[in-house]
Amino acid sequence: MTAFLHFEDFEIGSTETYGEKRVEAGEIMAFAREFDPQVIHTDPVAAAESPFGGLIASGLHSCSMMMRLMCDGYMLRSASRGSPGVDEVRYLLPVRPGDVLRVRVTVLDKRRSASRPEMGIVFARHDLLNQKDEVVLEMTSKVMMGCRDLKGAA
Amino acid sequence: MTAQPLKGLSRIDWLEDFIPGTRSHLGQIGFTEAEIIAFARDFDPQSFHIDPEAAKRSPYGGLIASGWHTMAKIMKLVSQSSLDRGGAGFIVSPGFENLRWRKPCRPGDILDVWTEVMSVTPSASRPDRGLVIQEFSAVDGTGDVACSVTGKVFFRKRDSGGQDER
Repeated sequence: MTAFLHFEDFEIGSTETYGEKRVEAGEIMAFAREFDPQVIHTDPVAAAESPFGGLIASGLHSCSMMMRLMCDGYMLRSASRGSPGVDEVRYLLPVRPGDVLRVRVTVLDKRRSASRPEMGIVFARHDLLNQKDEVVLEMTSKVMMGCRDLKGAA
Repeated sequence: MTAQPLKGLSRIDWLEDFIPGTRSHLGQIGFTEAEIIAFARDFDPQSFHIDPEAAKRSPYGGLIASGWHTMAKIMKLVSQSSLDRGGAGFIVSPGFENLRWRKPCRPGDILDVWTEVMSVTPSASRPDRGLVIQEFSAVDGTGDVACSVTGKVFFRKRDSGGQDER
């Protein structure tokens, strides 16, 4: 799948996996110093003594790394018009230095916009996977996607 | 805006300190063009976040912040306010719901971030803690909510001793 993607190309029930991204300790600490300065994210020594037993990524950092995987995987070669929001994010497992992440996208549903026929909304679940194929983070969200056929029905 | 800032915010640290219905001002967030582009280059390199010229031709008519950048800036205020209170009561967040990007955030925008306690539920299985659900909203200069999210955090009870495994 390398073509430029429009609303029509997202098939309900389809699944694709993209990536990968290796997580570095320095990135975890840099993100956390700016946005989430808890010691479990910023201080390897204090984190080692915490219940997590070592440095873990801020949940928002994991979301942001997943967004980058989504961009590189499909969004940058799509007619994406941005997103109105995210229904739910669940942090299931810690993300640690050295983890290698991928994103698995499942199209749950889609709906052509009645008021703006040039676009539609794609409802998708995004699972962030680590190198053991464990789901570390689960997100259900919506993306506004431009249509190839600007007048036809979906 | 009719809500009153919460008095004694600095004393809130434990599960018992969160009272449903309480609304308080967490602080302000803002964006420079350089910050918007730097964050988006790392995490969300769509053209309307990284390229001011391409953004002009997009449906947004100009550069806008990644929604994840807005969310991260809100969470910075949440994280910092917990640390400022000592942070002993904070355990972990299992996630969040209903993140809504209602209005784009642009360079120079300043947003007020408010929090309202929606519910406090003691854990049935782990008596040392409970789940606090809060609604966070970032309000722009015209009074519109640009971004809102329902956050979930487990907090320790005051009498839990403040130390345990998570």
